[in-house]
Amino acid sequence: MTPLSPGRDAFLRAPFRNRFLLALLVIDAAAAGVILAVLYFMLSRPLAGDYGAVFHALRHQTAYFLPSVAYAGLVYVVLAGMAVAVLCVFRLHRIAGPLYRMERVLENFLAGEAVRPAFFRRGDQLRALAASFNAFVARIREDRQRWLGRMEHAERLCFQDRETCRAEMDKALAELEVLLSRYR
Amino acid sequence: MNDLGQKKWRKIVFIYPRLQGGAVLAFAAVVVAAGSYFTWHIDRDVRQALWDVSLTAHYHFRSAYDVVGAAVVRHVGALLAGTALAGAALLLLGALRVRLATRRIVEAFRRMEDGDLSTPAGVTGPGEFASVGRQVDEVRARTQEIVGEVRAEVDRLRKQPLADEEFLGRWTALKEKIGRLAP
Repeated sequence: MTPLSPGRDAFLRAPFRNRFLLALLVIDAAAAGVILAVLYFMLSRPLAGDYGAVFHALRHQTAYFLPSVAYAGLVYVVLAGMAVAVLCVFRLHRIAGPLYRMERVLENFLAGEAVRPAFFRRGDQLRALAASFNAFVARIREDRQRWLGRMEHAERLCFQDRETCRAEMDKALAELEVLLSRYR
Repeated sequence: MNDLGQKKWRKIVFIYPRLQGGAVLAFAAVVVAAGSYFTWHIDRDVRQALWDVSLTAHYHFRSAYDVVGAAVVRHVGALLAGTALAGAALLLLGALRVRLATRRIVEAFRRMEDGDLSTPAGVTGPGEFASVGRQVDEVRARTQEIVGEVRAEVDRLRKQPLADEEFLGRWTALKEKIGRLAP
């Protein structure tokens, strides 16, 4: 078995992962910017009046700060949560697509229908899945052709006498047994 | 339509609720946890600061923001850093799980390619990966079954003394069995 080398077999490509991370950071920064703006708007109203008025305004803000900051937190959660949900759906379809493709190809194989090679779209991840499946099918087909080729070769000699035909067929079966021994 | 008058294909966005939904829930949990922690902490600190400043003799500020602005910026910065770190950790963990699950499927195909049809894929992973792993095992079992039938038939044909007619009938049946392998 050929060892898997990460350079050659792409599972999740670094640019895909980095772009996802960058998008997460942008969403995070934007949501943090919104919460900062909301808090600035709430807290930056001028405190006008004499000492008593400012004192009461400060105490009032102390009492009502929790609902205000909870509202700002809710805005943050909703905005960031929705943006992250959209990001996950639209970026991770590069993983969901290949999985869907593999499921259809494997269903096709199990149904006994003509097996077609698995191909992914440009930009899809997990390309090693398609490559390994295609290599497996190619090897199976190669073996099948070799087995059938050996049997057909024996059949061609059946145009000669009966003994030669049977002897060639027995020889083909013996070779087939050897060829089959690689499967365990 | 593009410049050449060819119809453009619509980009298909595949949605697997177990894959994307799981990721959405995990990231949303980080956002909710960070938002709640932020709300609790900033409320405690800002209220205390406003209470303390209200007790001073002279007010040298125009708004409450002048008093708690630095604390607010510090808390928002902590929220940003915390969420970014937790998000990055979650992303790396998810990428690791995807990579491990994919590697197991790829290794299973390579084992099968090398003739090992008896080792199960043993894929565990996020969402649909386990489902694909089960299908890979079914493909392995199916291939093993056909190869087993072919091997048994070859053995019978070699060892049993059969009349020519029966031998030829079984010979043809053997070819059909071989033909069922990855048609």
